[in-house]
Amino acid sequence: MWQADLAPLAALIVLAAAYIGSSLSLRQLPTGRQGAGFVAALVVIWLAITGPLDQLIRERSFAAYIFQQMLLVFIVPPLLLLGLPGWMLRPLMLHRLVRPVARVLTRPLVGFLLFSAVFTLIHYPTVCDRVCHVDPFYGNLHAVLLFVGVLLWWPLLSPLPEYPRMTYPMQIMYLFLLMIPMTAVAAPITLANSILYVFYVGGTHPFGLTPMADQVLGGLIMWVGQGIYIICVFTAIFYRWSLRDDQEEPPINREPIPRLTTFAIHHR
Amino acid sequence: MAAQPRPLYVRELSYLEGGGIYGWLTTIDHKRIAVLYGVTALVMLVLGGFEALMVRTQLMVPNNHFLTAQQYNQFFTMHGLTMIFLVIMPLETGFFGNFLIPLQIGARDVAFPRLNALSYWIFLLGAITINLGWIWGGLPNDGWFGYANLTEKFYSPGLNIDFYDVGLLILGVSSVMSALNFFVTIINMRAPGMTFFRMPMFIWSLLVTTILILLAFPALTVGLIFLFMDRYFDTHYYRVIAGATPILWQHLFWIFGHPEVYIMILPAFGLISEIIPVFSNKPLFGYPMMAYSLILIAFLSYGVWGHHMFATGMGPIADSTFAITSMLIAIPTGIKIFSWVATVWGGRLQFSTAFLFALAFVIQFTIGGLSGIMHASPPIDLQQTDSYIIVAHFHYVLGLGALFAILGALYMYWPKITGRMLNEKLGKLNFWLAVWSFNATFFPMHFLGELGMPRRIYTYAPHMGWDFWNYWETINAYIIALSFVVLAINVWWSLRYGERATDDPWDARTLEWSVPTPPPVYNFATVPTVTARDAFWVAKYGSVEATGLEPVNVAAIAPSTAPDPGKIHIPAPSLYPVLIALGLFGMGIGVLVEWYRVVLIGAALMVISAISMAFEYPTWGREDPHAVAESFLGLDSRKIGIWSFIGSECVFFASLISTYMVYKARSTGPFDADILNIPLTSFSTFILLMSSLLMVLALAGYQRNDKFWGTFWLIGTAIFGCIFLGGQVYEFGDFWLNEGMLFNSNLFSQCFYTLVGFHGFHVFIGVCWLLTLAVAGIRGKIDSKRSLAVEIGGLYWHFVDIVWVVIFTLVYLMRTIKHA
Repeated sequence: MWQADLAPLAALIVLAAAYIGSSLSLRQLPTGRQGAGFVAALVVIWLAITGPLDQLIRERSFAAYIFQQMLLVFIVPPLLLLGLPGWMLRPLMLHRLVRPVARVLTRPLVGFLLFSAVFTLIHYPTVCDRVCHVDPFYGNLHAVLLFVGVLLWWPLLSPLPEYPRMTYPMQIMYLFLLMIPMTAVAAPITLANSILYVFYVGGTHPFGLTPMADQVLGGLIMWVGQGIYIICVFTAIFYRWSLRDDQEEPPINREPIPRLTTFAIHHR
Repeated sequence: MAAQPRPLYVRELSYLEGGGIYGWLTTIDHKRIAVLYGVTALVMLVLGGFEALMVRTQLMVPNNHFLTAQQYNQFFTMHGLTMIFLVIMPLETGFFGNFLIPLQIGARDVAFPRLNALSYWIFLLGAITINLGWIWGGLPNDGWFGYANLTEKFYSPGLNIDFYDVGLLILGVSSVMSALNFFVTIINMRAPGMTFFRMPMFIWSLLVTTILILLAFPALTVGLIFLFMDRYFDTHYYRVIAGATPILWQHLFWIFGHPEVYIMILPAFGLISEIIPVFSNKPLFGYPMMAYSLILIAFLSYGVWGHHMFATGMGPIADSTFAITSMLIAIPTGIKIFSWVATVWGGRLQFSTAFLFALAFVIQFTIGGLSGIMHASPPIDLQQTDSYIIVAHFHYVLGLGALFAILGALYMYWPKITGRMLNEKLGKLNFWLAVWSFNATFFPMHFLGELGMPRRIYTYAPHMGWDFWNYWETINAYIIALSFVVLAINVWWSLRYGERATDDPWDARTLEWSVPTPPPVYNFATVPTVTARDAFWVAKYGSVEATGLEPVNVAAIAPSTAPDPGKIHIPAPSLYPVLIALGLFGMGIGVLVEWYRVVLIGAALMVISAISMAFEYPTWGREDPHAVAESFLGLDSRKIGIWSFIGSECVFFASLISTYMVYKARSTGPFDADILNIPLTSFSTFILLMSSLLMVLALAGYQRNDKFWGTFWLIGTAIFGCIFLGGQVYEFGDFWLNEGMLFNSNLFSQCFYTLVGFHGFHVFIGVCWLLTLAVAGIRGKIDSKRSLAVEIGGLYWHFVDIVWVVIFTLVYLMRTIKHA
């Protein structure tokens, strides 16, 4: 059942090593919460792309495929962003080669549009069948999803005041508007009356579902499951906002920026 | 009631005085527009009530022939349309929204006063369009949901459905405009210190409602446009014969329709949340949770439209999921009900008519909510759907819910609006008659539903157990009418003999009661600075929790000296909103009678008036009517406005694109792969993308005050836009003449022409916009301070380009690949 998939494991180990290495070289320790968040993110990635879930997808379960995407796009990025301390990301994100790109990519509109575009494209039947599931690309799909997922979550959970979070009301509006692309993709899949993805017709079909029911279930995970998750996130944001009543700016945006000039000089 | 020791202002003319008929026609004062909305909607309430009485009279006894089946269909359809679109929505957002938003947030007017007037006049003419059937051609007769394919020309050859279609399109324009206006007002026009968590709950409810309107109405618009094309251009959007599905209409309608339900009830929640604290003499219980539950309802409202379609056979997995999401809505609604109860608990209650209506609302809405949970369960719903138990449910939430909230708020705000008190004794009579008659009419409908009586039947056979309750309901329906007669007498009495109202007759809590009654044109002589929730109460008694017995600081909000009203900036009245609305009306009517000269005249009137309105202010180029200094966020209102408009447009294009995707797969040949000319379109796509670049250059030019290059690049952008349009025209001509692909050849062709055509229309509007700006630029009216006008035009232009990138990718690049 649990296939020995070395490439993802190696990638995860590299990530963990980079985390520990940068912590040692910068001589600062992440807080317990940050460490836990990072470890949790790695564990969820590992669970999502190897092991039983991967096996289910190989047995052509569309629902499992969508569930994997939801993990990579909606669970892992927030854990990652919570797990990465600002001081660890700062040297990287303020590097003179990274900064101009990061400044554009971390803007809410850009992240939102990139995520929506990628998410719409990969569910377009032709693309799903002929690109996403062709082997050399399939592994990269996870990386792409993780990348656009982080961009999507950055304006909500940015650890760096240099690339700030949105104000609380804007964060809520952002989550609300996220329903437009998600519904535009999920509703046609859920409500279609024929099989859209040729790839998922074959295979053994776990859970005893017909391919049609499998497709509906996948669509509903994307539409309703994701929707309820987003509502939980919104609840958390609203709770934080209500604690600070008349402050609409999240506290991290006002964090004093340490040694900004030093970094700028150092990396010139 | 607290004493009234505060005529500290020199009393100015109230907003009601002066101006004459021309003054009312050209008014852009939000309070006068509110009164116009209110009067129109109350007239419509009489009409809708009359229609309901006709329906009830017909159903009074079995085998009745009071109405023909045709008349019955028209009356029940019009009753629904009138009550939803012409009574409840305009009363809640148009009337109370207009009157209260600026007063409650401490602003002098809404963000876009002329747009506000335009919304009203378009609303009025849309209402007239829907009702034209009274004198000509017959009223709409397919139910307010207008299910396809009954609405096709083949099944409904008359003008009935055309009035429905065109009327709702016009009303949709009005709703989106006023939603955009209110959204920007609430975001940006709040008084200093009025943070989100200090806003009155009615403002919260309207903030959420306007977002729902902006994102829900475009789906209905798309559905109605398809219907229009089916009826006038012989397309097949809802015709099974060409491979299309009538279910498409249901999806588009209910994407709109379920948020619409909350568009009608959320402002009612807001009004109740204003009434209950005032008459309980307590702050609203659980304020953050009340705001939270409003937003939560908005989130859920887009995930539940499936529950209107259980009967269409979506399959067990989808049915179960929609059942769960629908039941989840009980949570935020429950939060609200318990919070209201907790607000009343332990309060010093003042049983005025308004408070009684609010209490009745809480109880009756709970009954309606409980039957709603029943319908959320598919097995039960399959038994109940299209039966009278559904009729009972939505009359409990809308009639005994929303309408009771409106009546309560009317009793509470009447003194502020008119300056006179209503008679409390007549009010109590009105209340008890209404409570009895509404419940006696609608509660037995639960029984009738359980006994199997279907909705929308024009008569029924005797001895099925339905006779008694139908008879009983009809009698009580007339008592409902009687309760409104009492209200009418009360209104007449108040205007004629009513006691003059003081500024704060209820010892209320929010800012609107701090201004004179009726308010002066400029609302606030000095814009107040807000330091707490329930700002007026805190100003009077020192803290929110104070009991209200000993006023400590009555003059805190009012200034000690009267300011010079001449120095307060009030925009001038304008006739153009009426003219634009008349132009739109002319277009609608011209299309209906197929008298295309009228369409052209209407369009010309609309365009000329719109451009004249843009250049109306003589100070254009020097004084900014919406100075940033007045804004809460430090952003210009127009910028927030264009972003909200773009959000609304996204839903419009998403609906068109989704339809294209679904229908392309169901289409017969010729297919996209046979037709689409990729090289040509790649070229025009490139041109359009370049035009965005030129737009950036133009804006940069104006921003560094380089008028020549700014105008140069602006004209360049417009020329590139024209080249793109030329490419589109050539492409369409090529398809039409050489490939023989007509508009209605197949599903692919109609969706393609509609989607690409509507995008082309947006480009055309953009080109006109750019040229208007260019004219202003040539006349030297745009400099670095006024460059925002170009920035806003540019945002629209970039949006249109991005939409084209999406269309080019999905329609052209990813066309169906032929299997060789």
